[in-house]
Amino acid sequence: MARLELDRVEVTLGGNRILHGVSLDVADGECVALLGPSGCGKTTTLRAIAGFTPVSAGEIRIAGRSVLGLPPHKRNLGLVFQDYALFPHMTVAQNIGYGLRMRGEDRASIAKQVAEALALVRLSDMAERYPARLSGGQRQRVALARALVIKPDILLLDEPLGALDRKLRDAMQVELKRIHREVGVTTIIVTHDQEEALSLADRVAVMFAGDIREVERPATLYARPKSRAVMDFLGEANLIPAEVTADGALRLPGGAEIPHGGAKPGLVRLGIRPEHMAILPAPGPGSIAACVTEIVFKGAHASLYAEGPAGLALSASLSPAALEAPPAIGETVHLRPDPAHLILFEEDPA
Amino acid sequence: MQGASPRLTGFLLLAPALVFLIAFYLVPLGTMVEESLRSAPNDMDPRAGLHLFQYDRVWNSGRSWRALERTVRISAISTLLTLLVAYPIALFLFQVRAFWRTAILITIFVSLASSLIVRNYGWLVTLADAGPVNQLLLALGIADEPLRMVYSEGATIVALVHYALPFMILPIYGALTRIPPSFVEAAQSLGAGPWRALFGTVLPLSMPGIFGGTTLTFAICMSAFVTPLMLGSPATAMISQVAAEQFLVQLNFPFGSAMIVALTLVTFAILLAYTLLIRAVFRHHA
Amino acid sequence: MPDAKGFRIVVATLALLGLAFLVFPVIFTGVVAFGGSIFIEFPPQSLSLRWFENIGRINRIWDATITSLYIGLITAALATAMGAAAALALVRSPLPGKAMLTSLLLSPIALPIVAIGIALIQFFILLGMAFTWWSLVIGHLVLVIAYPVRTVAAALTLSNPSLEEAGASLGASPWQVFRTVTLPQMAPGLVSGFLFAFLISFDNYPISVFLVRGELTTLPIELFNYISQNLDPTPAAFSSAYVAVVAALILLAERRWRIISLSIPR
Ligand SMILES: Nc1ncnc2c1ncn2[C@@H]1O[C@H](COP(=O)(O)OP(=O)(O)OP(=O)(O)O)[C@@H](O)[C@H]1O
Ligand SMILES: [Mg+2]
Repeated sequence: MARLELDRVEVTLGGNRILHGVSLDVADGECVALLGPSGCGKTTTLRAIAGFTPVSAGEIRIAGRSVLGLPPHKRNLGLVFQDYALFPHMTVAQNIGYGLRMRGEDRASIAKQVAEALALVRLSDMAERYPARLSGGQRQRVALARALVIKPDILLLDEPLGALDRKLRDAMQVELKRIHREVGVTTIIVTHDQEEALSLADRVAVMFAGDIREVERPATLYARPKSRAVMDFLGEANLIPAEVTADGALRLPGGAEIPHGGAKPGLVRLGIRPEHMAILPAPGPGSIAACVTEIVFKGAHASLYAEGPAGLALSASLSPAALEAPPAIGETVHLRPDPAHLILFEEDPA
Repeated sequence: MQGASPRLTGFLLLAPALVFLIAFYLVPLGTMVEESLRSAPNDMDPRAGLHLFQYDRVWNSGRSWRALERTVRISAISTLLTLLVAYPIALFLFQVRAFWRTAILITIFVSLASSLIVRNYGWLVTLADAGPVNQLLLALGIADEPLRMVYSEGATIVALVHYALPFMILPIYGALTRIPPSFVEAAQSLGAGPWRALFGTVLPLSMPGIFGGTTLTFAICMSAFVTPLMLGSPATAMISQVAAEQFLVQLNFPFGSAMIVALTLVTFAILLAYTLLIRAVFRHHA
Repeated sequence: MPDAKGFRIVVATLALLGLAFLVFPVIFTGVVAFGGSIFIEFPPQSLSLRWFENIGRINRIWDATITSLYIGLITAALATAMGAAAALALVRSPLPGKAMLTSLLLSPIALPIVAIGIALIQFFILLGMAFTWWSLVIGHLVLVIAYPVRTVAAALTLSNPSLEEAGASLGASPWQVFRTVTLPQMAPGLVSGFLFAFLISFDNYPISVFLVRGELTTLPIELFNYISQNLDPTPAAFSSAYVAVVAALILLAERRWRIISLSIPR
């Protein structure tokens, strides 16, 4: 267990700069999720920490000491690979005991620790099986036990649930949370599933194109993202072009205005989550008229999609009650952003 | 394979095999080619220079030219026959249960690994004047007296097909395993009968296997040496035999070398033409 | 694969005929090997084991068998060591010109076999080491080195490279990773590469014929000579024993290491 610091880490592969100075500080015992679209460099970051990818600039410290000079096998990290990488020629118990054997521990101590690790991931009765005869979820847990049993300073998980189906993934999320609570190891979990990131991690680091944009607690990140890109990437979001007028009001598309203080006059983007868009039957103060294009039922709630002025795409959540008598497709509704939940972003120059 | 310099590690791993092949394969082949460009046996006169005299002889001497031509003919026929025998076997492997599939594959492997001399001997006895094939022909009244089958071009072809069969079955089987079953089902669900599905879908999709198998078989037959030696006669000699005679009997090394170089070039030329042809015909399948 | 009763029957009939063609000479040889007459007889009028006993009595064949065993084992061991190392480099190392190196290593099997013998005998005469035991091993090695390269490369390609990183992340040094992860992954390729290298060396005639002389002789040479000069069923007995041993080896290797799937081209 230890603190992990990445300080402006740069990685160049095959002539391409993949990481552009990634900085991240993970506290002792903390679980940070690395979230970002495919190809943004999440795996590369993990491989740089593990020592499989050379770092061209910057610094990586574990427990305050630089590890850049250490080969992978001396870094004492627990790695769980996306495809688990279980040794096919070893039983579950041999797989889990591998790291301890490499450390030259004696048989009795290995057997004891393997038994504990098997109990931790609830696979005690599978010890003598070969990986080929395990289910996906079981393999995942063996990989986790194998990484944990060496008491790593840091646990690195690369899309650990990516290969599992929805239901198993939910169950494993709960399991991972429990194990992290019991073991308390500093953890980085890579994922491109935002729900997984938000539910598993103490903090979420959002990464785009080789750059960590924002590191925040899940609730804050969702409610108050600092950039438009993060807001757009996390969950559903309305991003409405607007103008701050000279007298400090916000002029919405279609002409409605909401009072707003503090912003400099000019063009802005309003960010607002669909659950903070009220659906009004008639025009109200600060509402935008839009034509309903689609209503999608999503279990606990439903989403309404509509087209506002100049083709602006808007969405709002429909409560179960509202769903009893939903607006018809093609009908005009009036969507009003809740000023308390509005976030203002500067309009991109583009 | 990490470490200070994976490239250096790789080079060190490769070095023994590479150095060995350069010293005892590339250099001797180069020496042989050089030898083939000399005009007379043991012509070590450094001023003699190199020329194509020996190749002229390969083309113009009756025996070597006929042997070369016969080699190409026998190889082409054997390759075609091998394909015809192998394809149904490869298809059949998909019709049987796993146990039989493994059993058949093991049989094919044992055949592949069994001594060529042993297998040729099997054909010598099988096709002998008093052998079972002749006995069958007599019993069925097809022949009145035993036929002379051994020591002929036909016997050579039969044994070559037998030798090459595993080299044809395995690539075709490999290619067939890669055809998604849904393709064939789709063809059949669109109303294609099994034969239409075979010729319209399965056969074109297994083309990489057919190409690999026929290429390998043709190359094997072109370089056949023991088989025509055991089952053919001097009148049906293939080019490797005639070249070997130059070394073992005539002691004319330059001429023998020229024959082998010519055989290699002819084989590569035919295979190259074949590759280009197949590519042109099946361009849209790649 | 296409499915319909008539189709299946036609395919099965053709395939079974083809398989009969494949096994018939071997089975037939096995039957006549037990005949009692000094000529090959079918069907045998009397049964005996004398031809099997006779194998051991023909000194030249017996001595040649021992020579071929030694040459085969040494050739196969060297070929497997050098070929496996090369395959490891070709599959796992960032080397320039891999395609060319691969075709160089595999090319000896594509060349007319006689060419290797002919090229080597001229070369060995120049070097003054013709007709020696080592010249035979070298000749065979040139031919068979391609087999372990191919099978080990196939085994490595099938195995997951992140296994080695997993080993390193768990604290194994590069050498430990090689011993505990890479080597076991290579095992089926090593076994089938060794087996084929041995069998091909043991059976080689077209290279050996140029490199043997006098007392230095191999089994295929002696077997060939015996077949050309004698009509008794000893070679039949020998053949049956040979095929039985090969079959046992292959069955064993398949049960333990699943070598067959490695040799089906992908
Ligand atoms: N060996 C390499 N050489 C050159 N470029 C590479 C190499 N490995 C990865 N890349 C590139 O680096 C970028 C980041 O890759 P990385 O695997 O880290 O993405 P990722 O965020 O893990 O994506 P995913 O969610 O799809 O796994 C990609 O654009 C990829 O193409
Ligand atoms: Mg990734």
